[in-house]
Amino acid sequence: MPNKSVGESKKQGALDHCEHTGRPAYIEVGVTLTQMRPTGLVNVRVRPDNLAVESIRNKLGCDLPTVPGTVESSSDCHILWIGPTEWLVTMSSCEGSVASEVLSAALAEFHAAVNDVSDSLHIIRVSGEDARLVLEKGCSLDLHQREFRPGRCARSVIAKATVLLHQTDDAPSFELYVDRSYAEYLWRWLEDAASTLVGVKRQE
Amino acid sequence: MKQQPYRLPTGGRIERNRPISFVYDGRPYDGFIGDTLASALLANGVRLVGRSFKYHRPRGVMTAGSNEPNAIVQLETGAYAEPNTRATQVELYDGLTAASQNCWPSVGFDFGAWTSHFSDLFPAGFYYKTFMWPRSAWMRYEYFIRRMAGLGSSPRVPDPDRYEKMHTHCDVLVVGSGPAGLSAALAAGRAGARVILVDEQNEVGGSLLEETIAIGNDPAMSWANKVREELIALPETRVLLRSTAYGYYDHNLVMISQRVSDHLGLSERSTDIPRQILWKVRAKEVVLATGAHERPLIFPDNDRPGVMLASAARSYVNRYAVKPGSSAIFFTNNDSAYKAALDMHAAGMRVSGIIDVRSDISGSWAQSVRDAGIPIFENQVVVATHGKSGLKGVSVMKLNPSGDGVDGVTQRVHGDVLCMSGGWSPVVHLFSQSRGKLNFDVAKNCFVPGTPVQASITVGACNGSFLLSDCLREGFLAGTEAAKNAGFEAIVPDLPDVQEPELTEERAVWETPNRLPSGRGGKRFIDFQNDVTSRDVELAAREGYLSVEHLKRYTTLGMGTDQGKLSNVNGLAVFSRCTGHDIPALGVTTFRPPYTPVTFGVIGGRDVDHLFDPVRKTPMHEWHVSSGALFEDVGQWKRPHYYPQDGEDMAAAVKRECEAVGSTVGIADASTLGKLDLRGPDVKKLLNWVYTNAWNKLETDRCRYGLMLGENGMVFDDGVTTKLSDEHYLMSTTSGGAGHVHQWLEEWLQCEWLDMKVWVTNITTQYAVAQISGPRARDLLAELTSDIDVSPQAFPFMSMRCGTVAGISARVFRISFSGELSYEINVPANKGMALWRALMSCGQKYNITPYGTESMHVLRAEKGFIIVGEETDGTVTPMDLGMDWIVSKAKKNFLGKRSLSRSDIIKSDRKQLVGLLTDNPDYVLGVGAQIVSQINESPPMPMEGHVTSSYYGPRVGRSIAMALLSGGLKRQGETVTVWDRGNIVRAKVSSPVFYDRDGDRMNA
Repeated sequence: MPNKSVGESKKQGALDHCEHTGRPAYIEVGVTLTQMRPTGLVNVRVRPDNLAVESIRNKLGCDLPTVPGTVESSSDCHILWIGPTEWLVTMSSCEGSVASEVLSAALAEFHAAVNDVSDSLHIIRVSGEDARLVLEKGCSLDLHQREFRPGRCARSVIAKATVLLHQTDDAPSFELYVDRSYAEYLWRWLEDAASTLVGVKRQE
Repeated sequence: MKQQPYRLPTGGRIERNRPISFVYDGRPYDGFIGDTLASALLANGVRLVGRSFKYHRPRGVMTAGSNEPNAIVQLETGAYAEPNTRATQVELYDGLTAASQNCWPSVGFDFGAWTSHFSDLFPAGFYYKTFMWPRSAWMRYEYFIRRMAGLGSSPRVPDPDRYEKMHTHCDVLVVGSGPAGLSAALAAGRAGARVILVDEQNEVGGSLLEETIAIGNDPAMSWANKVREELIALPETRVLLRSTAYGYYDHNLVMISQRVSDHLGLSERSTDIPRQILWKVRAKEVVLATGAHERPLIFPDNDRPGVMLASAARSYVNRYAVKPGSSAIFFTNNDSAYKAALDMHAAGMRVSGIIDVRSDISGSWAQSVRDAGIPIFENQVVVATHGKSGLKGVSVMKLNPSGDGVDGVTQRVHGDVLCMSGGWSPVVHLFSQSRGKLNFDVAKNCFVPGTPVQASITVGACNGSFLLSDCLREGFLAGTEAAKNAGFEAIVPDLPDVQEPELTEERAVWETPNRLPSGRGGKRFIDFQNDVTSRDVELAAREGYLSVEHLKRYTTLGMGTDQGKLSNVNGLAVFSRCTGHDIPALGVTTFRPPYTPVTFGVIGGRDVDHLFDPVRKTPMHEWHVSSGALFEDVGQWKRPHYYPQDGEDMAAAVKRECEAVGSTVGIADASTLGKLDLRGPDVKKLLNWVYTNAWNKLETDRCRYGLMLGENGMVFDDGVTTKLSDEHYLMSTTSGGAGHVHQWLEEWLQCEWLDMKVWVTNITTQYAVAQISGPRARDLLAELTSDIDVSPQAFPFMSMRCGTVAGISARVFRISFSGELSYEINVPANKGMALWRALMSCGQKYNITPYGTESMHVLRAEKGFIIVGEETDGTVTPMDLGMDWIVSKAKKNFLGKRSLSRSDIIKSDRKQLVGLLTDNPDYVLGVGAQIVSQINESPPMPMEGHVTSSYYGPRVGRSIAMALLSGGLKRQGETVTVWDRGNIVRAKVSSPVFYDRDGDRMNA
C-alpha cells in the first residue's frame, strides 16, 4: 500500500512560514530573535522525594531542581522547574518519544506523569544587549541582572502569551518556551517589540 | 518675528534663539521652545482662552500646570486631534494648532453665554430635576446638552501614532523632581539602588524652575541640574521626564504615562518613536514628592480672565519671562503671594497692592514688600471684580471686627491681573490612591498624608513642608531610608545651605466675607471647570446632603477632567460652614486614578491590529487557507467555518459538506478540542467526582461521554474520556474549555482532595486531530493503516486503538459528533499536516470533502447533540437537557449533585430542551428567537422559551431547531408560536433528535 508512509519525514512547526520575516533592524538595536528547533521536550509530574530525584539523576546525569525558578543542566539536558511537582525536561540528543521513554523508565516505580510535549512547544531565543528591553515591553518579571541570572527560569506572560522563560547566558539570552498555537503571535509580537527600542532606552 | 507684547526682554527658561510659530483659534502667533501653549498665549496678550462648561463665561489661564481648570483646548485636527488638553501643560512646538473649546461661534462671542443670564434657572442638579419628563425624551435632550457642554471633539480616523508599554522594577521610585524629589533620588542613587525619578514636566526642578532663592552657592536650578547630571551618570538610575505617575496601586505598582514625542512638531514625529509609553513600575519603595497646589479664594466673579493663582503668575514671570498682565493686584491669606509680588515687581511689572485678609502683618516677606514700595491692604478683602471679558480692577473692603463680614466703604484698586492665594493643598492624590488616610492639619490648613499603607514615604510640600530647606532635608532622609529599606547601605548627603525667610502664619479663609449674601453680586466659583459656585454647595446642604461623596455627584464639584485639583478642599470648606461639621469630620472624596487624563492610545499600546489578540492556529491551518476556507473564531482559535467552492454561499457550501458526510466521507480539523492527560491510581475516583455518570466499569481502550457540572449543578463542559490503562486516562474537553477544565481539576486536587493521587497535564496542542466521518470513513482508514484492525467487531463504536496511520504513530478514537461512522485520528502536531494531506490524497476516490464548524454544528444538531455554550448558558442542568440518563442514581456523590435537588431545579416548568419543527419546512428560525405564549402588536410579549440552535438539516431534508422551552419535556407534539425578528412562526415541539434516532449509522 503505497500511501502508508506518506509524510513520515514531513514535520511542520507553527513558525515555519514566519522564518524570513526578520528585519535587519534587530542587529542595530542589539537583539537577535531565533527560532530554535526543539528536540526532546518532556513534561514531568512527580513528587520530588529523594528516590525520584536519584532515579532521574541516574538516568539523565542531571538533578531535578527543587529550588523554585531554577534550572539544572547537564551536557545534553536541561531540567526547568515549573512548579513544586512539575518540570520540563529538554534533551538535545533525542526525540521527544525517546526522551519520554527514558523518563518513564526512570519513574516507573513512582506516581508520576511523563508526557512528550515536543510537538506542543516552540522555543524562541531572544538574545543580545537589548533583549531585556524587548521582553520588558510585555513581561512583568524583574529580569534585571541583580534579580534574574543564567540558570533561572520562570513561567510568566509576555504580552498575551504564556511562556516558560529560561535565561541561558549573560549576553543576555532568554529562551522562551511557548505553546505552538501561540508561537506565531509571540514571534510577531517580538518582531514588533524589537523594531523600535528608541524611547524605551535609558532617557537623556 | 512679530512682537510678543507681554514677553520680558530677558530671563526665563525659554530658548530665545529658537523662535517658533503656532496657530490658536485660526490666528498665527509666535513663541519660543520652552514655552507652554498657555505661556505663549499670555506672551501674545491672549487672555481669553475658553468658555466655562455650564454658563459659558469667558475664562483665562488660571494656573501654570496640571491643575488648570480653564485653559482646556482642542489640539491639532484630523487624525492628530486631541480634545481636553491643558494649555498649561502643552509644550509649544513649531506649527502647533489649537482651538478653544466649548464656545460657538467663537470664544469672543459665545452664543451659549445666554445661560449665564438665566443662571437662577440652572442650579445644582438642574439636569436631574428638569430632564426627567417625559422620560422617553431624554435621548433628544441629551443630544443638545452634549452639544452645549462642548467637551471637544475626538478624531474620527485611525490614530497614526505608535504607543508602547514597559514593565520595570526598581528599588526606589521617586515621584516628583522638585527639591524634595531630587534630594531623595540622589540619596538613594548614591547608595547604588535602582532608582527611577519621574516628573510630569520637561525638565527636573519642580518648584525650583521658578525659584529665586539659592541652594548652597548656586542658583536653585544649577543645583537641580547638577543633581540631574549626577543621577543620569549613575548606572542604575533612570530619569523619566514628561512622565506623569497617574496611578498608585497595590504591591507598589505605579503607572506612568510618558509623553515621548508630544512636544515635537507633527512633521518631526516618526512612527519609529512611540508617541507615548505606559510604564508599569513595581517599586520596593516609593517616595512621593508630588508637591502642592495653590488654592484659589472664593469671592464674587473670581473667574474673570486675568484672575490667576499667585504661584502661576510667578511661574510665568520667572520661568517663561512672560508678564501675565500690565499691572498686578494680589489677594491672599498667606505669605506666598508676597514672593510672587516681589518677583513681578523685580521684573518691572506694576504691582498695585497686596490685599491680605490678615492684620498686623509682620515678618521679612512683608518687610521686603514694603521696602519695594508695594502697598499692603491689611485686613481687607476683594468684594467685586471689574471688567467685561478681562479684568480691569477690583473693589476692596475692610473686614469687620469679628472677621465674618465687611465694613465701611469700598475702595477701587486698578490692575489687569489678580493673583490670588488661598494657601496650599499638598498633592496627596497618589498617597490616597494607595489607600493612605489623610489628616487635616489645622495649623497648615490642609490635608496631609497620614500613615502610609504601602512601602512609601512622603516628603516636601506633599507633606505640608513648604520651606525649601525642609524639602531638601526630608528628601535626603527619605531617599536614604528608602534605599536602606530596599537593602542598601546609604548615608544621608550633606544638606546645602539655604537662606530663606521664615513664613508667617496663614489665616484660614475660604470664601471671603462679602457685602451681599452668596447668590447676589456675582458668582463665587469653587470649581471653575464644572461651574460650581458656593451657592450650589449651600443648596446641596439645604437639600439635606451630608456626605461629601453625594455633594460631589449632586453638584458635580470636582468631577471635571481636572478632578477638582483646585476645588476639592475649598468645596469642602464651604460645605463645612453650611453643615456645621468641621472639615476633618466631613472627610474628602476618594482620589481615583488617573491623576491627569491618560490617552486611550497608550492604554492600548501595541495591542492593536494583528497584535490585538493572539490568533491560535492548528497545525493544518495553512492547508485550510490555501483551500479557500473561511474561518470562525472559537475563543482565540481560528477554525475553518466552511469551504465555499465556485462562488457558493454558506448555505450551499454547508449543504454540500453535510451531504458528503452523509453519503461518502468528510474530513474536519478537530485539533482544537481540549486534551487532558490524567494519570495515577485515583483517576477513576476523580472522574466519578467531576462527571455525573459512573466510571467504574469502563474498560481499557474504551471511551465514555461525560457531563461536567459546576457546584451549582449547571452544565459547564462535556467531552469524551478514554481509558488508556488502569492508571492512565485521556479526557477531552470543548475547544474553549481545556484551560478552564484543567484549572477546575487542579483546584480540586490542590485545595480539596490532597490525598487523591492524580496528575493532570494539558496536552491539547501536542496532537493534531483529523476527524473523518461518513459511510466510507472505515474504508479510508483501512487503506492508511496496516496495524489497526478496523472491522466493526475489532474496533467498535466508543473505543480507541493505537497504531500507525499514513506511517505516523497515532491514537484513533472511534467516536462520533456527526452521527455517522466516524474516527478521530490523533498524531503528534508537527505531523498533522502530513496526516491531513495523506487523508486528502487517499480519500480522493471517495470524493473526500473537508467540512467546517458550521457543518459540524448542523450535523450534530440533526443528531440532537448539545453544544455547551449554545444549548447551555450556565443555567441549564442535565435534566433540563433531557439527559437524566447520564446522571448516576447509584453514585453517592459528584460535584453539583446536591444542587440538583434544590426546589428550583426540580420545578417542572423550568426551561427544557426540545426540538422545534416549523410548519413551513423551509423556514429556518433565528437563533435567539423567542417562543411566546401570546402575540402582541409589538414586544414585550410573555416569553416561554427561546431557540438555541437552528439550521437547515440536509440529511433530514427540512429546517430543524433546538430550543429551551418552559416545561418543554412534557410538551411534545404541542404547537408553539415563535416571534422571530418580526415574523410570527408556528412550530411543533418535537424530540431534539431529528436523525437516526437508533444510532445505527454511527454504530455501523
